[in-house]
Amino acid sequence: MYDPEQSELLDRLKLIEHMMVEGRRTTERWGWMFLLWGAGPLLGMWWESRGPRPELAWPVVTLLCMVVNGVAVRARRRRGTARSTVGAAISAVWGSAGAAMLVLALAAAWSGMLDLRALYILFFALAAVAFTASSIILRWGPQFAAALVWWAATLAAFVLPTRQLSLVAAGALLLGSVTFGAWLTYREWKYADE
Amino acid sequence: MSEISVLPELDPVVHGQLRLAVLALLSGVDTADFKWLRDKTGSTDGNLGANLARLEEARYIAVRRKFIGKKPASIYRLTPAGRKALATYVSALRKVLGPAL
Repeated sequence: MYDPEQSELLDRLKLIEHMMVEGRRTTERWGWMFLLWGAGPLLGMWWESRGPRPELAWPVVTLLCMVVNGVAVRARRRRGTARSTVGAAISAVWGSAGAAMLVLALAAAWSGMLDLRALYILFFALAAVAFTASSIILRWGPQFAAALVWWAATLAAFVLPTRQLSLVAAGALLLGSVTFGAWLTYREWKYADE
Repeated sequence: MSEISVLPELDPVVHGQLRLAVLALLSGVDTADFKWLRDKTGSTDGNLGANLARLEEARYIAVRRKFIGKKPASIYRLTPAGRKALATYVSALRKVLGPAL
């Protein structure tokens, strides 16, 4: 049994540990972003193949995802933010990969050099690099597993017929981004108050 | 000599519950804004503001005021002196509590 003074000091020690854990949790709520950037391209692929005005599919879906992403990030900033070195590194990895994909897509559309196989390989590899780098920074097995999905898609894009590459992309998006994002979102929600 | 008599050696600026929470939170991040600190500590604006001012006065934290859009925001970070004060406090606490831990 502790006396009141000891008990107060023990509470202080617990408070420090609890707050340190709370501070580190800041950078971990990103599940929605994997869901968004997994489901968005899937919607784009579906629209392009079966929807009306297929030429609008990618510009509209990409713009929509960027707007939703921007609104969600701004809403989160309004609730307060903290920055950490790890968080900045992760943001740099995903921001660079996203910017590279956008530049490549725009350049390919603008120049008319739409070599589908090359584009698929580039996009898969960029996603694989971002997932791998992020998983190494965070030392996070599940994200490394998602990276392996993207590496497998990259290798498959070298050997499979071009007409099957959209299926490979859909599979990689579903497994590597949507499933991973859904699992992460559930985990963040489940452990939000612990 | 009782263990309690060692208590005055604990830094009184760090010892305050809310100030200690702020220092511990800031030790895990590079910078944090006022709203984030308020949310994580569950304190009121006034109480947090007063305690942050005390930490700033002791030079344990540094503040940078800027505008995000049209709204003013205060961004806080732990200074090297603050980090050292927190480490010293934890070390002293462990020493005081030694047998109880």
